[in-house]
Amino acid sequence: MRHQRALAWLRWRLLVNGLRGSRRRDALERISRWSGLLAPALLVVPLALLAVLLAWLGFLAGRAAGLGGWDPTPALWTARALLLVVFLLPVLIPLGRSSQGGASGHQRLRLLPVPRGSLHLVQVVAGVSDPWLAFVVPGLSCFALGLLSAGSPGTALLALVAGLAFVATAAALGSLVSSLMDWLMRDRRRGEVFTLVFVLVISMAGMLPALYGERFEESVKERARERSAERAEGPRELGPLASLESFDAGQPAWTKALPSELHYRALREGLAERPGRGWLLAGLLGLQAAAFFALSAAAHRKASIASASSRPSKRAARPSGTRRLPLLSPQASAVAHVHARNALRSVRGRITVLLPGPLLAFLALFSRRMPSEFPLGGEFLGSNGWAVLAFGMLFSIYAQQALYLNQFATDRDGLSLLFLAPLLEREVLHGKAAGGLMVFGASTLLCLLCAVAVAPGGEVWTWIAVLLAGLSAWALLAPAAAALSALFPKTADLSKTGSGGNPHGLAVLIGMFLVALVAAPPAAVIGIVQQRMERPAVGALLMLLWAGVALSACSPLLALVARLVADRRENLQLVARGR
Amino acid sequence: MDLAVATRGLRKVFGELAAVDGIDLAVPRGSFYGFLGPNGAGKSTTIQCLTGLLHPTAGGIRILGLDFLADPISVKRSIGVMPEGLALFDRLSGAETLSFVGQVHGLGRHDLERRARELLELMGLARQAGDLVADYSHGMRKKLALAAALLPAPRLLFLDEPFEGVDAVASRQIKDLLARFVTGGGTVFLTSHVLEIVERLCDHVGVIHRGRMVAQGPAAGLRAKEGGTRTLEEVFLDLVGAEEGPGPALEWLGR
Repeated sequence: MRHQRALAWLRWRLLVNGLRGSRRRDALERISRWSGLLAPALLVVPLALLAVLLAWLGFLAGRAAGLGGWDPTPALWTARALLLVVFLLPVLIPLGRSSQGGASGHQRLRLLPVPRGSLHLVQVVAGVSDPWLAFVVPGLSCFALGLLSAGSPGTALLALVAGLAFVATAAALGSLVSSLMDWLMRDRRRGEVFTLVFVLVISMAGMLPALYGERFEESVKERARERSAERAEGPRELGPLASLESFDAGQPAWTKALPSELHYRALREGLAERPGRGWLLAGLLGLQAAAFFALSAAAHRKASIASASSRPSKRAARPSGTRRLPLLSPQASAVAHVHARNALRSVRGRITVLLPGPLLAFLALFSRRMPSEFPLGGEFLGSNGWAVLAFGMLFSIYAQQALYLNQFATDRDGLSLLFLAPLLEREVLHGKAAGGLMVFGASTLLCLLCAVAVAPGGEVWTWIAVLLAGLSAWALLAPAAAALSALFPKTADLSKTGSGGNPHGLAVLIGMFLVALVAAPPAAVIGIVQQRMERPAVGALLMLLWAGVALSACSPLLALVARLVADRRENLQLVARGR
Repeated sequence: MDLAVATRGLRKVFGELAAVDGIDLAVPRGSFYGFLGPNGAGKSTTIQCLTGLLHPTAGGIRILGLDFLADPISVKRSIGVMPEGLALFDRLSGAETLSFVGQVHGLGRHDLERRARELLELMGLARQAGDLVADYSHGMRKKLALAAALLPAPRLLFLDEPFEGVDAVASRQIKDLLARFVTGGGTVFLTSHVLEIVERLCDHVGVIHRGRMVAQGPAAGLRAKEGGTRTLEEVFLDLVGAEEGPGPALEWLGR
């Protein structure tokens, strides 16, 4: 028990100290840090209120069910649906967290003279304190309390045991998935490949049925036919209980073994005064919890003893200079290459390059197959490759926020190397702007290839105009992005796809408006030329002029931002190093 | 005296903590200067102020005769730095890191390739030159950071704990290399906790304690204090350890 107490204290101190931060902060940095806590607070407060509400409703439902004279089916169904979601979250969240680079941080703990079993137990118990599981515990307990207050102690005990068994099952399952992910991601490269594949597959998977399933297309049409038939016939007469029973009858047999289903059936049997069957189902739920606990202990052990593997690199081992970029000094060119390499070798950077093009191509194909299901007019996107390119570039520029809205802190220790080098702030900013353009260019190239593949044709001038529009948007965005990065730095790791790799919330918020602002003029020009004029070359010419204006403005704007960076460089490098 | 590093009233404050509290450094050109102090004394903060990573709250800094705060770029062209955090990009390979450093210092392609190849060989990193720094061990990172500091052939080297975590063979090679560097007219400003290393390598020593300089001068002079020849450890303990007292006896230890 003392081990568990010590580890609970450790968790608490890490949380408190993480909020407090270090003394090496200026006032702006402290404001930036506290404002960054706003988003988690906005998540936790509603969950806490929801937990209180669920507790109250659970008590009322339990009391009403215990007193009789009230059909508990709606309450049981609500709990059943909620618990199904709660049961799935411990599976999905560790998967997502691992893909986002969240480390369990057990390495240090393994050095302590604490038995592995205790560490595993702490991991399982900590799972119960996760908000997505913790918020249902009061509801489940208060349901049992309600039954007790109504004079049904036997059913109350059954409800309490079933509820606890459900929570234990979910926590043990969460621990099992966490340990399996720890084992899978024990080495940096393996972890990054998993994350990349996970994010790309999750992003694309939703669209595959729509693209390749004839049945999906048929079912969409079928649903539409049914809806219109229902409208013609008027409302159907079907009682709520009958529809619930027909739903149950339509479910596959294996779903009956799900913990949320066992919990639901145990309560239903208990309330129907068949306590024997209720206790049998609760016992099965308890057995599931024990099985998941044993499996998670085995997985935890495997993750503890697994060591990282190492493979030789295939990267060029010979030191040599990089190509000097047009309009840039050799020093700024070197910064640009380093910036692009850092981004393109990170999970975050690779996703932002690889995702937008194929995703927009899928959307274009999808919209062409089912234009009526597409909210923005599917025929337009499906038949105009330049529009696919334009949307892909817009998506790409939003997706790359983590790269350009926190461009100093994401260099981590490398930022000190930049600041130690004989480089002017202006050269650093020019290099980073050019490096960002290289990343955006790589993403744009893939968008272009995808767009040409799904919807070739159209006026070549329009395609050129779209590319110039992207260039102009980047030229105007780069100085603003550098300023936001200097004002709101956040310690971040681009190998993480979750919050650990995200820029500061305020920078993201302002950045979203800025992207819309810099994209609006070229979008408007291309739109007007497409709609009103029949000479696409005019659109390209206007875009060329606009890109010239934007590029001319970029350099002086960067010079202004350079002063800000000079003032903030000490703080930037402290934040970048995680101080 | 011709000084490579000279500070006047250098002060750096974090909130209410004066990490460096008005120090006057005098590092002669061509010297091997050991900067000593207990943990948290302000050694790393001083190096970071001297190399531009931190901006001093007050005081002046002259490096190689130039006013560092007025013209940092010119100074940075002449110095090499291996700071506390090592200052490396995780997602560059060792070879790419040296290429980057060479380029920002304006080295020609031929010079850059030759120097980088030789440094990688010297540090025993030639076989791992294509691996990302993220996959390097702590010792390998340290050697790469030292190679990066040496690459532009600086006239003054700032090294923060250069031998910590480095294997014995590489450590010996680095010591020889630094000794040759000083013999050739270069200056080394080095911090270390290992007093034996400082005693063996450094001809000048400065001791900082709680942000203030408590002693500075030729190492031989400090050791010969009060007529007798003492070890640097004895001098150091006299300067910073005496007022701390012997501390608790820890009788429970070793039962």
